[in-house]
Amino acid sequence: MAQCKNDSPISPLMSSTIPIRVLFFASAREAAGGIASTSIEVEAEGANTKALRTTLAALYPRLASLVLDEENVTLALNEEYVPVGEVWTLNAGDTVALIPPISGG
Amino acid sequence: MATKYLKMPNDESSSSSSSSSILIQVSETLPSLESVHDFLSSSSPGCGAVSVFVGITRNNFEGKVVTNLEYEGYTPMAIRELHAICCDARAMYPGVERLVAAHLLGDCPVGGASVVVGCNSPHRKEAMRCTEYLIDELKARVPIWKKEIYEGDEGSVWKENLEWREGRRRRVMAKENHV
Repeated sequence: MAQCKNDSPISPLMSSTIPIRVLFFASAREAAGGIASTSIEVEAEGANTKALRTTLAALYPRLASLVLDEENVTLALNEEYVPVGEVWTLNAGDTVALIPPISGG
Repeated sequence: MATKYLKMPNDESSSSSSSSSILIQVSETLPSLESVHDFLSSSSPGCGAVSVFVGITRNNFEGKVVTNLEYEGYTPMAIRELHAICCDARAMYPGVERLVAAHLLGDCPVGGASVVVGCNSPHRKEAMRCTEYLIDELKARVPIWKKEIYEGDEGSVWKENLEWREGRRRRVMAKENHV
């Protein structure tokens, strides 16, 4: 990542954020205190699914062990599964769902 | 009749005949077996087979008595995944003309039906194999969760499908082979 020069007229302090809608299901919903959805602001710079996991772990401590573990919680970005081992970029207005192991049928 | 013909969200192009031959439903009611059969046997004079699988909820797990079950779903994504599964199934089993995939949400009585999938085809084997594919894939990739509530002080558990773990591994392997 490029270093910010001290003489840059636009200060890196002017960091901007983007809104992300987050949906919680099943065990993840219960661990988050029973909320089904929320909207959070994340740093626009480097906004991705990995960073979002860290942000959610900080916001919801009881959810931390689940959301930081890719084996436990899969993410779906705009209704599409993020494959294991991949990190996807987030854009303003995206919806990310926390998908614990499924059990339909 | 409570049966609904749901189209893909945000997909206005799917109002063609291809979507009217697929019945998807994710809601607090299941279509009746009669309506599923009517759907699968209509407008298909060349088909001699209708195959339907109905999943019903068990009353026990590892010695514990199940008293209640609840299903929770990410409805728009579940509909999208079911539609994708039906399209994949039709590519794999080209004789299949009509498909049904429906799942219950909310409370389900013990012994009650929670899922129904099925299809028709000219001959039985293709219909039966396709039906098996539909339920296996549903359990591997459709975002729906089952909570079992046990008798007494045994608590409750969110279940986990083996097919989900296997499906994730398969997707990763497919990706790695592709690269």
